[in-house]
Amino acid sequence: MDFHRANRNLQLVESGVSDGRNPESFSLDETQVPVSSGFSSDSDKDQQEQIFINTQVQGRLDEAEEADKVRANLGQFRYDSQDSAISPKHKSAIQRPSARTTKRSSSSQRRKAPTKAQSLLKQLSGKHAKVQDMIKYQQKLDSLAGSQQRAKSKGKTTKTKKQQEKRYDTYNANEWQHIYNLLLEKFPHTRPSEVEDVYQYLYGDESEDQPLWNESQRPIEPESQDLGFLPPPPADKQRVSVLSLSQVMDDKHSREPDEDIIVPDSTDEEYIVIPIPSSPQPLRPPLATKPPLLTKPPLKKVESDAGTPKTAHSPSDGVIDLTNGSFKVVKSLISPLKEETAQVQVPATRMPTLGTTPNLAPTKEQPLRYRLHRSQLESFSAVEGLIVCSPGPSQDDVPVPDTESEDSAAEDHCMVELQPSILASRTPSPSVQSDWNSQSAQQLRQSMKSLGLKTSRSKRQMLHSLQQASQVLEIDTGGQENQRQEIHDYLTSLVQSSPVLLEKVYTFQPIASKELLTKLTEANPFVDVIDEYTIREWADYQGICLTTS
Amino acid sequence: MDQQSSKPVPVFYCCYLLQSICKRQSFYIGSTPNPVRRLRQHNGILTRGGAYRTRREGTRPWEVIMVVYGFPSKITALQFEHAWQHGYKTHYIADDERIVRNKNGGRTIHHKLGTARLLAKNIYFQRMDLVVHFFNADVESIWIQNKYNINDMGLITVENSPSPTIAPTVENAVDYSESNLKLVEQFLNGFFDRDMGVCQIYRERLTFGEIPCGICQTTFDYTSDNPQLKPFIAFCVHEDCSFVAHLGCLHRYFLDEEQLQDGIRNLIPRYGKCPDCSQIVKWTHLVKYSSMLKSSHGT
Repeated sequence: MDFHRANRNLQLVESGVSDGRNPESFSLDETQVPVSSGFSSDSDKDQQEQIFINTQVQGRLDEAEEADKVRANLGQFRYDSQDSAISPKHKSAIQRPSARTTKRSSSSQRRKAPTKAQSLLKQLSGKHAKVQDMIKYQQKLDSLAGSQQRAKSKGKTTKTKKQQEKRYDTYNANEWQHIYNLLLEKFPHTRPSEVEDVYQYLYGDESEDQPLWNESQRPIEPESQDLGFLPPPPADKQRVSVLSLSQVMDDKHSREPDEDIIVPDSTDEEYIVIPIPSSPQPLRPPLATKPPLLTKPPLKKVESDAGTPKTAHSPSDGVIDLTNGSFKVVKSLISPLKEETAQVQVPATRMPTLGTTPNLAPTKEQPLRYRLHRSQLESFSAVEGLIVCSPGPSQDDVPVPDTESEDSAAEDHCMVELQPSILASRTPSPSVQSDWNSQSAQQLRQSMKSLGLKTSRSKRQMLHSLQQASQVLEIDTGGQENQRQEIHDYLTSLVQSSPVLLEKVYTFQPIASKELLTKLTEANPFVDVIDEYTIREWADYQGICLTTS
Repeated sequence: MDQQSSKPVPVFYCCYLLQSICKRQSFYIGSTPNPVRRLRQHNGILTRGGAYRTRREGTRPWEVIMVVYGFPSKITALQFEHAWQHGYKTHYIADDERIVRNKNGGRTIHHKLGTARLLAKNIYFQRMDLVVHFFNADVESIWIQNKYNINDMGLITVENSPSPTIAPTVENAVDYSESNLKLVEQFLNGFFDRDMGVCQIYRERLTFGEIPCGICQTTFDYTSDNPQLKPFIAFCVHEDCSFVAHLGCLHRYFLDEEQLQDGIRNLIPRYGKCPDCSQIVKWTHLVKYSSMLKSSHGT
């Protein structure tokens, strides 16, 4: 028994050992790996999903096919234009916005420009019908010129144009004078030349063709001849060189469409017809034989009448030549509408010269001579046109000293020459100021940048600073370089008038830019207006060492 | 009060251009009142003092190849240094003249010298009578070659030290840098000796007491304790001339002459003729000694 049991046990043990080594058991283990089964199940799912998706897609496809079929069946009912309507939709969607914007902008431009001009002219004359006539005429001229370009070969245009021109009414002398007066009130600083430009724009130049006036003056001619000879208005000549009223008001839009139109076309028949020299001359009556009422109002007389204030010595007509210099000066003083011109700032450093020169200046040609103590000399060195004569060589020039000043030694004094012409020229020019007033803020900013001044947001502030600058500088002379140079020269003269500052500069001591600025601003508040870049540029040029701290 | 706070014109302040002896395409621009000390800092002989940029691997030792000096203040020297380092954006060079266009460009010696030329040409630095000194004949020839054709240099003095006898290689780098240091030392000592000698003469003359100004005849006295009697004064720099005047008087005198010639009255004259010996005197020299004397005696 025991033996059997032991034998069985042994067999069991053996089998157990052999079991551990049995390759079959390993294979069993492998098959039982749960992961592998999981994989298999996953792949199954994937396949199922794929199939599912495929069926979904298939279903959709079937649906689509069915819809197509239905559509094909219903095709007989659809509109004929359906297919073609789709493609233009796209096109129009692309085109429309651009077309819309261009239309809108052009129309708004046109709408804007006339209204401004209209309102102005209404204000000026109070003659609504006339003004409207004028503006309509102008618009028609423009549109005509435009259409003329488009339809080059059409001879009709001349005819229509002629008819419109005949409707046009001009002002007579009195009306023009009235308008001129009002213009002067509105724009006190307009130059006579500008008014003349407007005048010329309305009436044309005497030497050139005058379509309006000629039309009114011309004896009735047979139609056929008219068609041949009537010249188109010399649009290019008039419009390029002339400022219209709206342009005076700084309205640019009115000008732009004009410029497009005036391009002459060599293929145009009219241009071939015009230059026939023999016939046009007899058509126009000579200027000398004009009937007095219908002639152009005499411009010069009117202008002088309106422009000059009624002074005591002026004749009743007030005929003053426009070329006269004094005319300008007077004009600058009568500007009741503007507040800015009223504030005249006299810089502090200029005070002594302005105070003394009018009393002491004997003539314009002779320089003024002063005898100054050396200590005083420093403060005068800022004045331009001042020449210092050292006392040594020219003893003859030294005047006999007063009895009271005998005690002071001769070499303590020196001669100083002042050139009065330079002092006299230091007045702000009215024409430039009027330019500023009519400029937009953007333009002002630009011009101030070019001048080297600080720009600011408000137009009023910029105007103020420009006014300040005009007290110091002659802004209208020369280009930008000159203007900057002028600012530089002025700053230099300011430093020269301050002995402490000057010593710092010529001993190459670094100066804090803030310190320099405050000192210069103390000397003249105008410095505060100058752009910092301009000051740095000047400092570099003069060898002033600026520090930031 | 202003005069006390103001610093005198430094005896010497320079901008220098270093070139690595081992890595010839490496350069460094700096400024210092003492190029000898600074060079030793760059080369690591002196451990105190910043030399971060020149400590990079394989660049030491460095050689001073060029020095620009004559700056009237530390600030102007720093301005020149910064402009030299940033030739692509400095406002001292007009945009249409730039030879270095972007931050990473302009690394050759031609660019470095060209930028220095452009700067020295600027009106601001022209007033300072700068001197360009070379320690290496090759570099000077590059300067003369003027690759970018920058002319109208105006008043720029060019000097040179005797060129070193040995060529720079990696093997003899140490010897070469030592010889370069010696050259810089010689140059600096020579400069100081000359300057101090001049100053000493002026100081001795000032001990006489009251001296009248050669132009306005008002006396000044540097021996007194009254600061009112110690204005800026100027000696004629020529040895055989004994002219003394207020710096302000001479300033006016020079400017009057310049105005007669050019028609423009600037703030700082370039030079003028001494009223006594009528030899030409540079304004920067007058100011330098004047401010040095005033700072050592005046306060």
